[in-house]
Amino acid sequence: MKSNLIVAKFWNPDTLMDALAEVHHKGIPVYDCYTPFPIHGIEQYMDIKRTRLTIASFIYGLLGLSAALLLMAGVNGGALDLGWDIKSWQIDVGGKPYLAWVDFVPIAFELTVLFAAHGMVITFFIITGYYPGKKAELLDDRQTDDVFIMTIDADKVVRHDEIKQILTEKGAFEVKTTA
Amino acid sequence: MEAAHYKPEQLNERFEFSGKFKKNVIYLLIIGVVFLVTGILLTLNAPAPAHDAAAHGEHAAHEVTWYTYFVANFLLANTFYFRIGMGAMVFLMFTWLGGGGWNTLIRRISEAMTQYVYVAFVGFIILFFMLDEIYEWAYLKEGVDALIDAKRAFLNKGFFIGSNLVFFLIWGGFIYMMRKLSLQEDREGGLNTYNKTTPLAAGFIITFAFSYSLFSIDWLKSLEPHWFSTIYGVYVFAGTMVTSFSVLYLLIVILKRNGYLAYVNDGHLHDVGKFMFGFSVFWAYIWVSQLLLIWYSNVPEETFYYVRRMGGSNIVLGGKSWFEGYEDSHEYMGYAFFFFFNIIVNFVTPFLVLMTRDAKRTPVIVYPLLFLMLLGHWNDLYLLIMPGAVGKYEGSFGNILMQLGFALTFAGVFLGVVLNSLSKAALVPKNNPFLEESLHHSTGVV
Repeated sequence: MKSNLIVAKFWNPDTLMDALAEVHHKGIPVYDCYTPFPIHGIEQYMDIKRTRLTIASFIYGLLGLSAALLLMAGVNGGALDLGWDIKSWQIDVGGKPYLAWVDFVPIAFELTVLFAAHGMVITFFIITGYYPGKKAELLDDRQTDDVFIMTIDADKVVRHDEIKQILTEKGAFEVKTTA
Repeated sequence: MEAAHYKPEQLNERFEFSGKFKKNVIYLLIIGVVFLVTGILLTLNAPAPAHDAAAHGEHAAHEVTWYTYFVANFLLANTFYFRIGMGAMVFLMFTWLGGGGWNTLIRRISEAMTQYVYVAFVGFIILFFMLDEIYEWAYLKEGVDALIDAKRAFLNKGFFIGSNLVFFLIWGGFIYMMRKLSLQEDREGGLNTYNKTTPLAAGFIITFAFSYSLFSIDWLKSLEPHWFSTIYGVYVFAGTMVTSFSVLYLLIVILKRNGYLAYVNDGHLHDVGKFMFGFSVFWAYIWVSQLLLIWYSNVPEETFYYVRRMGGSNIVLGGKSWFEGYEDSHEYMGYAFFFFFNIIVNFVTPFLVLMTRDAKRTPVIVYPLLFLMLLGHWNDLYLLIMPGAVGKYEGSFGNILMQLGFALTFAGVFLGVVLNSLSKAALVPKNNPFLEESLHHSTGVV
């Protein structure tokens, strides 16, 4: 989290939304909002860009699909002559051919899902800087309970006092700047 | 909140079934009947092929004529449009039961679609008199086929007609009650009708799950009475939902283009698109589950079903063992194209096209795709019915014309009934408790 932020705290989501709409209308960029629960329609005032995680997911899925096909074709059929002793891994199931697409389907599906899901989670952790066991960065202990917080990047705006004035008028019970 | 794109008085609008709509429905009917008659005449003049004894076993001296094709195509068309209406009822009931309010604004379209089911019942009742033509268990006398005789307790005309009449009564009753309560809600308001619909929905979902499975076994699976599959009912259900949501999307787009439904936003289209996408994947899942298990276990009682649909196209399964002992498999080779067309059109295409969020919200992309999916599921039903009903593949021009004629005629009847029912009630159920939720429905801006 950035250190130089204007932080406004609200007692309920409606006042937060009101203040957000006002700030958005004035063209002031919002850094982020922290709320105890998801608020419907909040994203339209926050200028959030479309996530590209879905594109990443598709690429990971394709990677998983290719990995599965390569694995099965290589191990089962010996289609790739890489100089390995792979014929000994072939498993004869009920006299079925080694290279049949029907039994490839479940494994191709599973590896696609596995790669897509894990790839997405790992990418998400890397981009957001989260990791298991990370100490929570809270602006206010009550932000997970009953306080709704809006933050504005103080480096990106100039007239700080005027912004603080607007936020207070719109119902923030506390407005401060983090150092 | 997003600015409203409609005027408040538009919420009181009613659909008028007149002018352009009526003309187009009549055109559909005329073209359909012309194709149908031409198709019948062409098939009538073609020399009737002597039915290969191997196809139905040595004892089946059943001749395939133009009438066999007529009955099989009639069953195909009737089932196809029946499934669209039935799927709309399932959609209404499961969203109701799940407390889903987003679809309130498009509820009346689904309701109108369910009204077609009554017409489909008439079609099935007509088919009761034609069972001898396509069902092996109906035209074979007792004592000819021991395996069929062992199943006579289930596969006999009395039980078949009786159980189906019971299903029609149950489904028709539920649809009648649902529609009645919905119209009553418009007049009276309040929560009374809403509370009454909830147990109705629960009752429908439970009875539907059992009866629809039996229905699909009766009408479709019993065309090949020697075959086994325990997933069959689910497979037919998956196709039902895909076609039904495709038609729902189609009707919304058509009505929006003609100035109705201004209050239906991209979010509603997005959610219907999600259902189309989801059930396409579900259908493919069931498709491959059935194939995979039958392929692995390799029991002759089950594999012949796929031999008749792949026609001995060995390369695709990578081995010959499947088709050993099926000397006549080459006669079914014509179905192989439809078999692989099926999975490409019904799974691969919608999966890749509908995957992104923007595609589901863009009618220009979904509009051509949903016609392709409807064609694909017609093809799916064709594969379920034809190899069992008429045996080996006969791709004559007359048969194709007859099928096209049936498809268009029934489309005309379907649209006529649905649009007529749509004009009978207000387009917005204005007293539904979820109306506000549906008006503000949004699947997010980003």
